Amino acid sequence: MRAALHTRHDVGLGEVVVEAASIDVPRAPDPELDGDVIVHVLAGGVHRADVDAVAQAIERAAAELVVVLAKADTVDDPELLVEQMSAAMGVTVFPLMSTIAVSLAQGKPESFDALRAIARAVTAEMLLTPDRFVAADLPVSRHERLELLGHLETFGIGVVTAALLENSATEDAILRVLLARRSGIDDVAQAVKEAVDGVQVQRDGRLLHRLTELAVQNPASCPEIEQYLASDEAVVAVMRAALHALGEPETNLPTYETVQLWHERFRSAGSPAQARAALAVARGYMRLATR
Amino acid sequence: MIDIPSDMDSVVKRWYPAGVDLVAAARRAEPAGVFVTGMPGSGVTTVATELDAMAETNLGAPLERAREVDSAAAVLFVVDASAPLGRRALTDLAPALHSTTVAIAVNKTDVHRDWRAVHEVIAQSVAEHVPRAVDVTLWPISAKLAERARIAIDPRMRSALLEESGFEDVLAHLVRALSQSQSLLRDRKYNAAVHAAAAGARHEIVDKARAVTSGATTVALRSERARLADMRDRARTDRATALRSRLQLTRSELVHDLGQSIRQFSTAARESIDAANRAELTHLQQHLGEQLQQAASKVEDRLGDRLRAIDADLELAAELPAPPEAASEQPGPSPRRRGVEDKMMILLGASAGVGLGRIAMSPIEMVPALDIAVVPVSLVLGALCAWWLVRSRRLVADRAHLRAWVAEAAVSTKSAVEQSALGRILAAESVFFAASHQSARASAAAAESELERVEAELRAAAEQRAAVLAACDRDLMALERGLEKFDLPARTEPTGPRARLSS
Repeated sequence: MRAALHTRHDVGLGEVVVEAASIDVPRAPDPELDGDVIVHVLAGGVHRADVDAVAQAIERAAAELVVVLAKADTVDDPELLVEQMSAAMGVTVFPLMSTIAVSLAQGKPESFDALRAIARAVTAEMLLTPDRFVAADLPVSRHERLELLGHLETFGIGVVTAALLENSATEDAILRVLLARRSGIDDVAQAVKEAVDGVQVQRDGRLLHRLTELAVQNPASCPEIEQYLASDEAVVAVMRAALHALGEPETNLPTYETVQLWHERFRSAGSPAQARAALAVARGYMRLATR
Repeated sequence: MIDIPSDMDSVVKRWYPAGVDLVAAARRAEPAGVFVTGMPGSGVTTVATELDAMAETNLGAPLERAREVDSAAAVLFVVDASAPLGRRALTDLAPALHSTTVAIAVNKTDVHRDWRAVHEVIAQSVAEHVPRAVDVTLWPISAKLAERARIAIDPRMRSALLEESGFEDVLAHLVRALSQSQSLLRDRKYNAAVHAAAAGARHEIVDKARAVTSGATTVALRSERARLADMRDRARTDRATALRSRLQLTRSELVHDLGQSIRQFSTAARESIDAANRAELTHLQQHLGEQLQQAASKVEDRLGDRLRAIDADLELAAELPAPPEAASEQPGPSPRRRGVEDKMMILLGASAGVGLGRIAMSPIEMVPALDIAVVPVSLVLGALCAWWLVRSRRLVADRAHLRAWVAEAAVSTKSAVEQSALGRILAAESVFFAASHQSARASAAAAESELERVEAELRAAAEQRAAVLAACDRDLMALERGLEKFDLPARTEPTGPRARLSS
């Protein structure tokens, strides 16, 4: 997982991904899950230790949580399994074929020529197990087969050979796109990115709230803070924090009707906190609409 | 079947009665069948289905199933080849490993390239964390390959898939396990039950020893001892300090109270004198004297109240000195003597009267017939004017005289009351301190007595703790001695392609 996330630079994690020790290891304490974003990796099935760890993370409510089913290529029906797992854990579980995702991100295999050469010779029986593929009577070396297995597993080899059987002229780039789509890395990376964005929005919101307090406490000595808090950047950041707190998505192209709508929500808000949040959203949308 | 030694049996009965039932149930057990279980998501149902199908094909009937570990002759525990066994799974599996032949089936070897590493880690974990496992073996299998083999048409393919699935080996192993003698199976369960009962008893004993040595039972007593010692040491000084402080406060309140009362009296008296006419002035002195007496009495009464409050608040139960008798009434003012001012006033009054008479009669002098009446009328007017001036002067002088008396009486009364009250406070102080010392001595004696009681209880608790710990040690030793009879010889860990942990 760590490698898969690191290879996706658009997730925005930089170098802050820390691989915690495994949970439920005999004679070893469970790690303290104190990250801002927790990526919990499931293997095989949902165990009691997984349920407890996820429940603790949800209870803390200080962290964003992303649950991933690793080695999804070993499951016959990953969609059904993650549906069952999501129901069991109470959070969305994302399937991920991490070996394939990491290999593709690292540009491996460099070429699918070896598979192109044997695509028609590969049978379903050969792909029943890795050992069968290695021992099969195919015109590629054992070393190459082991490399292919290491990069794509039998599942990936099956996907590529099936695509090549349909169209032997399929380019490597298309095969990579196909594998990437099947690996599930896009959904996982998107979920992690949203979680990271959520954390950043919350931090921005807290920082601006503190700045507002400081400006109120020292009105004469902080004209720069006042100036910054009135800027578009700060108003929009507060708006995003308010939207995150309300659990509302951000409107891409807000109009005056959007602003009116939020003003209406401000007037009809049930609590002062909701009213403040709705007003902050209306202010932010107004800035965006007048840009 | 080895009987439990009597001392161990006694310990288990006392500390862990449920263990007795466990052992009795195991003694009567007639293990039969296979209990199939496993980790979630490991394919337990598929493995069981394929195993039954293969048993029906090879043996003519599915394997006999057990409903639980306690009644099973063998346990098939399915794990996924994607990850090793976790801490909780090992803990859950340990009772089965202690009592029954367990085959751990590492499933899905067809899709997990690293199943050999997982297999090795599971074997090591079981060997390390469950050293008393009676008979455990690991079997890499693939239910998917077994299923493919079952539906394969080509006999060679079927045979190859079956061999790769590993199910034939597992089935053969389970059949062997089921054919073991009842006495061996029962002995294993019996030994495991004895160990479980001993472990339960040991757990209870250790818990008890921890509870006894934690000091939680004597925390209240130690706290009580500290409180009593503190109370004994501080009772006397605290009481004396409080008494001194209250008496000092009473003194200052008295001075303030007295000054206030006298000031109020003086103000009221001055107003009364200024407003009094000649007739009232003669009775006013007596009235003011009574008011002064009342003000002094109020001050004395309030002082008495304060002293009684100190006595009650500090629980001294002292005999307060009787209040002094009411101060004797101030003597009235001495008669005012007429001085030269009065005589001068008569002379001035007469002269002014005559002068005024002459001025008043000057128009009449123009009438010759009335000339004869001018002198007598002037004299009469002069006399009247002199009389009025003398009377007025006497009233003013009498008021000044009474004012002077009031001031002197107030000062005199204040001094007398202050002297009397301070003397009363002094007398009360000596009485209070005597009572305080007596009370402090009684309190210290009571605290000392309580301290002795608490110390005795602490000594008793320590003795009881030592006795309980000794009893715990004896019981633990009895358990250890008893278990030595049940400890089986150490098992060797065979090596081989199936990574058997025991034979």
